[in-house]
Amino acid sequence: MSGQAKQGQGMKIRLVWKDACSGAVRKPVLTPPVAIGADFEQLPEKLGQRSVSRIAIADDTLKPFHAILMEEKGQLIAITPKDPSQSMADVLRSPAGVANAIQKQSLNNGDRFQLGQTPMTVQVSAVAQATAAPVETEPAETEPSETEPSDASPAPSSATPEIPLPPQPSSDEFSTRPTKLLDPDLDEDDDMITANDAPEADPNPANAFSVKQTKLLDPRLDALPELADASPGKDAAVGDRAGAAGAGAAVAGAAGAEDNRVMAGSMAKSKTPKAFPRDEAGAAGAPSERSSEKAEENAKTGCDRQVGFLFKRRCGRLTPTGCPYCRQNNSHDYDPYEADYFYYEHYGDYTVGHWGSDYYAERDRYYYNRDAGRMDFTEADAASFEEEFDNDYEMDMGAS
Amino acid sequence: MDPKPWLIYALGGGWGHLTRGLALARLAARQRPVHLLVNSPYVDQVHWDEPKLTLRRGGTELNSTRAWVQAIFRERDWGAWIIDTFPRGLGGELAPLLEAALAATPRHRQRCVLIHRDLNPDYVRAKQLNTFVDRHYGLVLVPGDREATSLTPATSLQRTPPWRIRNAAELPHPEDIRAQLSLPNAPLVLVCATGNADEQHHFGDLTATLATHLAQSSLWSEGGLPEGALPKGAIRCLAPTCPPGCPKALWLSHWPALDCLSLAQVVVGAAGYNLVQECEAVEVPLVAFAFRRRYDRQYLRVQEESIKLQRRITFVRDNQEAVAAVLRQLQPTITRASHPVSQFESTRIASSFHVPVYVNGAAIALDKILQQLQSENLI
Repeated sequence: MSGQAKQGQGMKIRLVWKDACSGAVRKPVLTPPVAIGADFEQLPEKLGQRSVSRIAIADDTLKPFHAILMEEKGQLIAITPKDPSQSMADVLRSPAGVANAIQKQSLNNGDRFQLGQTPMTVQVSAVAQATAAPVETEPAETEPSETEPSDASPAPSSATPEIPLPPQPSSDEFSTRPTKLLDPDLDEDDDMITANDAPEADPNPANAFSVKQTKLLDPRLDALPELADASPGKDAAVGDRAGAAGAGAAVAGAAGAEDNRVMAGSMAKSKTPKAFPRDEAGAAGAPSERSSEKAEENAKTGCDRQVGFLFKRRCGRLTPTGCPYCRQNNSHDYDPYEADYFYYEHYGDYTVGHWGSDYYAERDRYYYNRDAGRMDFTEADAASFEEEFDNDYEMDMGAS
Repeated sequence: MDPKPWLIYALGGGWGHLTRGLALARLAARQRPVHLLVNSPYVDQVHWDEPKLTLRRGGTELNSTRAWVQAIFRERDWGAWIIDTFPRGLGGELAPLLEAALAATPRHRQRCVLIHRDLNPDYVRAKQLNTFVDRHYGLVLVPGDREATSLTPATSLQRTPPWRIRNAAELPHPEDIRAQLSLPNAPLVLVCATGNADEQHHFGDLTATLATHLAQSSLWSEGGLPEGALPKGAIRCLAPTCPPGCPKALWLSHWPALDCLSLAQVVVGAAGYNLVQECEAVEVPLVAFAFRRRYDRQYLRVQEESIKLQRRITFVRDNQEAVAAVLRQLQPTITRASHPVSQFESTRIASSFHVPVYVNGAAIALDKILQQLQSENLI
């Protein structure tokens, strides 16, 4: 692997929180430093020479610029003002010096913390904690062009933070505690990917089966709408809908800078991973050799994407033709159950207090034949529903 | 020679297709005859003053409505086919017409215009609408800067600002509307009973619930009101007919709703195209339900708008959430009510009215259609 590839191995974190407005679970993958606050416009684009990932959360109790998450010697730390009445913007302008005005708290993988009234969980990539391990464990899928950061990409994890940060006692406001992940879909050992790896829509349908050079190890990560829109250079307007359906996050900032704008309230329920990933090189030229191998593998074994609503299962289709989960033209991450996830926001949540937990506890009550203890609804029934998707269209002259 | 009349197809339930179609038709009819096809149950509520505009009213029975539409399309050589939302027609009845017209006149595509309000992607895929639109439409207009687009045809999408039934300069003064509707000189919560006829009871119940909660609110009523008394602030439900469950005293009827919205401190309704865009136009907060629709994705609109408008629109799932959201929206108003109410109200109301300034996208759409037809020497 080239030195450039190593340069792109900085810490990656995933923040998971539930948006208070929409109820949607947000889980963007970010490269520290990450600025968090209530007003996107007041979050800095850069700290020193380092580009900043910015997250604005609709929470009245957050300050416009509330906190910074950054990496220090391989450790993720959270920085907040000592004085609760101050915002980070005040601290950075403090004539007495930044070091005396802040407090730091270490964060580890799986820690849960609260900003304002928004509880969050942080996942730290294993690569960052090991510091030397590459992000991807499938080196065969790595090319220098994929991992080479842009000029404005955040510095590697070994870089010295721009702000002098002395050790500080822990903050009540920013106390952390190990806890289970908010989103049960996410395993703690999920590998992280960078925004740079986000696949872009290929406008050419002919490329639908070419394989994208990607670092994805867990296809579930590819369903993140934040990443789909977070490619550098795509300086999209807020909420620009180009890209994956339902994606609410948008990219803002200087060209080439990794600057994830994540606004609460957007759709983040796409639970199915992409199938048939495509080769970015395919749009510009010939697909890579590895891509071809991947395409051939797909052609033999079928699509790995988990599909279905009630019963998730491997797709296994050998071609996207006629597949209800693959849009015809240029998007592979279409989820026909997007609306269902919106209206049944806690579907798939099996933690205490959600219906999934009750369903399991009371599963006997759902048997069709209670005497025989036999379920009269199988995965085959669920699959059969999916072939009836278009039967009701153009039959109701009062629809809208 | 008189210009050929245009045919605008705006079939579909609720207010959206009717109002959007009428927004364009009334402007187009200033220069040429326009026939507007609609089948909304609310068609009797609308009115217009363009003599060249003919409104054709259809039903909702599938086969007879399909036949009715096809007969109108075949009855003469229309100058333009302008189709709202459904490229194949709501019942698929336009597909054979478009195919036949294309076979007869290869350039027919150039006089076909699609107004692309968002559609369920399942439908887009099931009926291969992208291919269909490429084949049959020479111009695709998106009626809104941020309106979602599920179609990705090769024919480029041309966006316009949202279409409104009135230009900003045509809006009546709020005080005139207040007097016309006999509204008290007080803060107003306006429930807009949009959506389908079978959803009216939802808004009726909500209006009654809101009235109860606000009457009990010590903030709103300064210690509570005698039983049966209305709160100092007014709650009204705007609907063509009094919705089930709605107290008669709280029911209003007026068209277009856009006239009334700027009177309100907060509007409650569904996240359909019209209400979302109109509340934005007059800069009034909207508390919105996202109803399920066969083709529209209201949930997507409410999400997008809540991001863009920074909480001017609040998504709620049930009456309880709606009441809480309304109270939150009223909070700054209520808090200031520690002053004598009359003084507070007169101050607030006097300072709150302003002349909405917005561009009516329907006028821009009309220009784009004319440019399309002129470039093809079709007019």
